[in-house]
Amino acid sequence: MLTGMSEAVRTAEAATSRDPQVGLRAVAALRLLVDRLEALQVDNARRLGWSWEEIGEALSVTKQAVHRKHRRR
Amino acid sequence: MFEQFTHDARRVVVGAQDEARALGHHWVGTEHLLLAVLGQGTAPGMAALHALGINQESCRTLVDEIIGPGEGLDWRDSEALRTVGIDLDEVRRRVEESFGPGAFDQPVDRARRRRLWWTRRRCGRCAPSGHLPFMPRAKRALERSLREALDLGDRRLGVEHLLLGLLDPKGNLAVEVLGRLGAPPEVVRAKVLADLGRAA
Repeated sequence: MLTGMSEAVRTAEAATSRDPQVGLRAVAALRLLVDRLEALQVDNARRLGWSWEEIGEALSVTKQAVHRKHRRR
Repeated sequence: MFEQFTHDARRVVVGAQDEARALGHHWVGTEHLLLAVLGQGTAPGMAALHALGINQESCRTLVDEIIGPGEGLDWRDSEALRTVGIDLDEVRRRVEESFGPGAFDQPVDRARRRRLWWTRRRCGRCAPSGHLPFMPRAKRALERSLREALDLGDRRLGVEHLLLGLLDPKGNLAVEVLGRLGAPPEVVRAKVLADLGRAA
């Protein structure tokens, strides 16, 4: 993995942000990070008694959308 | 039991969690314990592994290959985020500051949805501990290492005992990794014991 890691670092250093491989990979990782943080924050808000409507409003989505995505948790 | 661990052995148990996180795994298995053991370069018994050509990098690559990317954000994501100026370790640190240790690395909903009802309840119990749960074979390896220390007449549990404990004849992922790298468990065991000046 260390080889893989240093390769990744080299790729990042060598390539400009115009390299789609680097840019798209970063977008994919960002999406994962956003999902993780959203799950944490929605869980926390529910524990604190926030309604789906309030959560949806804070996330700028409809309460139906946020409920559909997170109700199972 | 934990009080009898040497300083280095404790670092292995904690380090196994870091190894799991870096691979995006939500559990601690024998594979992560092995990687953490290999991180203790100068500990007793390590020379045997090095002599057999076993090192942390080759093991990590193999674990990554065998298990594949986990559900969580792994080192690949970490590198990708770095290219847009985000330090994942810092994000993790801040999340844990607010939500407690391990909060960032709890399983995401996708994983939880797939889980069946009886395992969901079990995980509900282990989640609040803030640490990644140890898998049964990893627990067994820890128990085995305690027995190794007792059998060898050593008063404290060191990294060498953790390594011996991982070499389970019933098999586990650590054994598989070592085997694939050309070091079957009985060979490793004999070499470690020989290096420690004990009879195999």
